[in-house]
Amino acid sequence: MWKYMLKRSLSMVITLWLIATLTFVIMHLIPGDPFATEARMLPEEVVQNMRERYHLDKPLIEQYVQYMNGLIHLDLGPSIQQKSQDVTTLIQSGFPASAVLGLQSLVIALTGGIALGVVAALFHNRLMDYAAMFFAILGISVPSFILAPLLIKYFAVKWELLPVASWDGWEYSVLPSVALAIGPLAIIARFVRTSMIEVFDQDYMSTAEAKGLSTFHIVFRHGIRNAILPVITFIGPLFANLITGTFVVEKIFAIPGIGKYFVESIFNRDYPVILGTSVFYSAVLILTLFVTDILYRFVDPRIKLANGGE
Amino acid sequence: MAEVSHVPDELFRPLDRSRFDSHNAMRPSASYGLESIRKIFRNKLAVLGFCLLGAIVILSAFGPGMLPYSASEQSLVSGNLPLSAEHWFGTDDLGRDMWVRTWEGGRISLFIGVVAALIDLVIGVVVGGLSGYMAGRGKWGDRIDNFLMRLVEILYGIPYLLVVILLMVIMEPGLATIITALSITGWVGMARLVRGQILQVKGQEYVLAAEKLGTPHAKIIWRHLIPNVAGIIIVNLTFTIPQAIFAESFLSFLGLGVQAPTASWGTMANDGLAVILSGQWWRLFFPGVMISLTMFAFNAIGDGLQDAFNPRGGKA
Amino acid sequence: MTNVLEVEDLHVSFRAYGGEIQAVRGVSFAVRPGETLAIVGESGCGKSVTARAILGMVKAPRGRVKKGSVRLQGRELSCLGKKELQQVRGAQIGMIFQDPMTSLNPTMKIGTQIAEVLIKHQKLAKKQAREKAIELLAAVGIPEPARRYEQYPHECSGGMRQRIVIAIALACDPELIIADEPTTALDVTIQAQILALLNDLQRTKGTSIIMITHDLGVVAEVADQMAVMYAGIIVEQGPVEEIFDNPQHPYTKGLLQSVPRLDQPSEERLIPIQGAPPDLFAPPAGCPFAARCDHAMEVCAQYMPKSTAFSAQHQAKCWLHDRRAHRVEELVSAGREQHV
Repeated sequence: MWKYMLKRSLSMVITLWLIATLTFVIMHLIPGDPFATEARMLPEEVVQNMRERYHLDKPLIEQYVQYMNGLIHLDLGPSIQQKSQDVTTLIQSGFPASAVLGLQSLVIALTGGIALGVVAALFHNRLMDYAAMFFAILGISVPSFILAPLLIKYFAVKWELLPVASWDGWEYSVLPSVALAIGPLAIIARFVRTSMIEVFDQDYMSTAEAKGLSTFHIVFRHGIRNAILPVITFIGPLFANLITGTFVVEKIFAIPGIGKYFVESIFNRDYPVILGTSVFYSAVLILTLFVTDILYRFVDPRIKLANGGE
Repeated sequence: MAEVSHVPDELFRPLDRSRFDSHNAMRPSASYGLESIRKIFRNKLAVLGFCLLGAIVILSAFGPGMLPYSASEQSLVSGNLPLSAEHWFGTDDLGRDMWVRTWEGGRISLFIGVVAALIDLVIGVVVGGLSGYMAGRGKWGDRIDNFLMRLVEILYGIPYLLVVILLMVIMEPGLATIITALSITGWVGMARLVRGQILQVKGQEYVLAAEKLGTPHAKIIWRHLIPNVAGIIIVNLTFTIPQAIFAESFLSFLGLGVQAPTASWGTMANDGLAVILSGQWWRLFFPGVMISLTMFAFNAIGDGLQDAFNPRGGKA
Repeated sequence: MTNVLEVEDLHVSFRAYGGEIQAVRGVSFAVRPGETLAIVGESGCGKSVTARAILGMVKAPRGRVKKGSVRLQGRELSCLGKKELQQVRGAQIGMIFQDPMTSLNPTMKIGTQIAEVLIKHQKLAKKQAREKAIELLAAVGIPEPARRYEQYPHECSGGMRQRIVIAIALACDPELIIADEPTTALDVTIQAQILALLNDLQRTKGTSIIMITHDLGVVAEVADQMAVMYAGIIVEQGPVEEIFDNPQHPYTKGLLQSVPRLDQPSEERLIPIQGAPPDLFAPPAGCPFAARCDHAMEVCAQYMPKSTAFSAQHQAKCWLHDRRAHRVEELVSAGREQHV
C-alpha cells in the first residue's frame, strides 16, 4: 500500500511540474509585449522599470527558474492588471467563496445524482426510468451559462424566491450551487443507474432475494454498496467539471471567487493571474485524483486486502 | 392434452420423420448488426434523438434559405424586434434576422463539433490502436505501448478545458485555431478506450483460436478486431461531438470563440446573455435551445447506441 | 404424513422477441419430509426455472407463472404477496445457487451475510446472530469459524464458499432446501465432500431437499426420488432405485445408457442421444422427445402422452405404454415395418 502511495505521489509531482512548465511555455509564446499599451503612453524608463519588476527583461531560462522558485515558495508573482495585489493574495481571497460553492454543489450533485440513478435503476425500462434519464440528459445538455440566467430570471426576479447578486448569506448560495450542480448530478445519475443495473444482474442479488430479505434491505445494503464503488473513481473528473463550471457560475452570479478572477484575467490578458490560477486549479485537481484513487483502494475490500500484506 | 379415447388408433404406427422435421419452427434469428439496429429503434429516447438531430441538420442546411435575409444584413431600424411573421426568430440589436443567424450559427457550431471530434477520432484511434496492437508483441512492441500510455496518462491528468482556454488565449481566436485547440487534447479519451478495447478483444479466446488456426493477421484485424472496436468508437464519437460543441460555446462565453462577423451558437448565446434582463429573451433563447437540443440529441443517440451494441444487454 | 412441498401443473413462460418461450409446461411432483428429490435434465429443460418458480422468483416482467399451484405444507404459495413470500424465503425454504464464486456479496463480510438471515427471520440480536452464525460455519465444516466470520468471500476457496452458502440456506432450519446444481462448478473431490455434507445435514435435521442436477452420479449418491425433465415437462418420476433398475421412458433409458461406466471396456463407444432438444419458442404439440426417440410413432408427434403408473410412486409419460402400442413393439421386433 505504501509503495503504491509513494509511486502515485511521485507521478503527481511530475505531472504538476509538467503543467507548470507547460503553462509557462504557453504564456511566453504569446506574441507581443504585455506592456505594449503602457509603452506608448509612458516614458521608456518607467516601462523599463515595470519590465524589471516582472522580470521580463531577463533571459527566458532565468525567468523560468525564478518562476519555478516562486512556485515552490507559493509565490505566484504579481498581477499585471491589479497592480497592488499579487496573484497569491488574489487566490487566497477568492478561495473561500469558491470552496463553499464547490463543496455545496458536490454534495447536491452526489445526493441528487445517486438518488436519481437508484430510482431509475429500480424502475428499469419503465416510465420512471425514462423520465429520470430524460431529465439527466437534459441536465447534461443545457450548458450552465444558459441555465444560470434562466434560474435567475425565474427564481430570483420573477418569483422572488431566492436572492442573488451578492454573497452575504446562505440564501445567496442556493441558486448558484444548484446551477453548478445540475451537470454533475446528471452525469452521476446516469453512471449510478448503469452501475446499479449491472449489480441487479449479479448472482449475489438473487441469493439476497432467496434469503427473504426485504426489497429495501436488498437494494440499500447489498445493491448500493457495490454500485457506488465505481462512483468514487468518478469524483476526480467530476471535480474538473465542477471547477470549469465555477467560471461561468461565479461570473453570472457575481460571486467573489477564484473563478471570477480567472475569467476577468482572461478578458484583460492578465498573464500572471491566468498562469497562477491555472497552476492552482491543476494542483487541486491532481490532488483530488490522488485522494480519490487512494480512497477507492481503501473502500473496496477486494483491493484493500490484496495490498494489505505489503 | 387430448383425451385417450379421442386419439385415433391408427396413429400407433412408426413415425414418418421426413414429415415431422419440417414442423420444427425456428425462431426468427437475427445477426448481430440487425439485432443492434432493432434495439436502437426500440429505445424511444434514441429515436427522438435521431429525429431531433435530423431536423437540426436539415434546418442548418436549408434554414437560412427560407427567409429572404442574409446573416449579416444589418438594418438599424429593425433592431431588437420580437418574433413576427417576417422575422420568425426576431432580430438582434443590429437588426439582423435571428432565424437566419441561428441556422448559420448552427452550421458553424456543428462544423466545429464534428471536425474537432473527427480529428480526435483519427488521432485517438491511431495512437490507441497502435498501442493496443503493439502490446505484447515483443520488447519493442511493449516499449511503444508503454511510452504511448505514459503520454496518455499525463495528458489525461491535465484538465481539458483549461488547456483549451490557455491555448486560445495565446492563439488568436478563430475557426481554425478553435478546432486546433479542441483537437489537441481531446483525443486522449478515445485513445484510452480504443487501446482498452483492443486489449480486451485480443485477450478473448476466439482471437487466440483464430490465430492458432492460422488465420492471417489482416483477416483477424478485419473480422475480429475492427467490428468490436468500431462499436466503441462510434459510441464515443456521439459523446465527443457534443463535448466539442459545449467546449466551443464555453469558449465563446469567455470571449475566446469565433470572432464577428462569423457567429456560432456559442457567441450568439453569449451576446444574448448580456441582454437577458432587458427583455429580449429570444436572443439567448434560440441559440441556447439549439445548443441544448443538439447536445441532448447526441447524448440520447449515444446512450441508445451503447445499449444496443452491448451484446450482453437486455435479458430475455 | 403431509408432503412438505406439492407442485401441481406448473406453467412458466417468458416473453421474448416475436413470441413466448414456454419454459415449464405442466410440471407436477411432491416432496416428502426428510426426503431428497432430484430433478434431472439437460441444460434448458426448465429445472432451474421450476426452482425459481417455487420461491416466486421468476424474473418479471418478462417471465411469469401462467398456471399451476405450489403448496408448502399445504399452504398455497403462488398467490402470496411479496411480503409474505419474503417470510417464507430463507425461513421455510432455503436456496443454494449454482456458482459459489458469484453468489456471495463481495463487499460484505461472510459473517454478516449469514447473520442477516437470522436477524430477519428469527429476530435475533446482533450478538446472538453472530454466535449462531459461527456455530453454523462450524456445522458445515469450516475450520476457525470465528476468524472466517470476519473475512470476505474472495478470501475463500470455491468449496468453502459453497459451504458458506449452505450455512446460509440452513440458518433458520428450513423445512425444504432447493439446491440448484450445487456441485457443478466445483471439482470432483470437493463435490464429494459437499454431497456428503448435505447428506449428513439432512439426516440430522430431517430437512427435505430438492436437488437439481444434470449429473446422474449425483442422483445416485444423494437422492431418494427423482424426476426426469425434458423440454419443460417431467417425462418420468419415481424412486431412484426403481428408475435406475427399470427405466420406462426412452429418454431416461438414453440418459442411463450414455453414462460411461468404470466396468466398460475402454474400446467400447459411448452411446449418446442423437439430436438436440426442441426450441421452446414454439414447442411441439406432442411429446417433445419424439424427434430423437428411436421408437417414435405418429401419435407421439401429435398428442402429448398421458401418464402411466408402474408402481405406487413410479410413473412415466409415453405412448409406448398405451395398450395399442404393443402392436408396434411386436412388429418392430419382428423386423417388419408397417405401412399405412
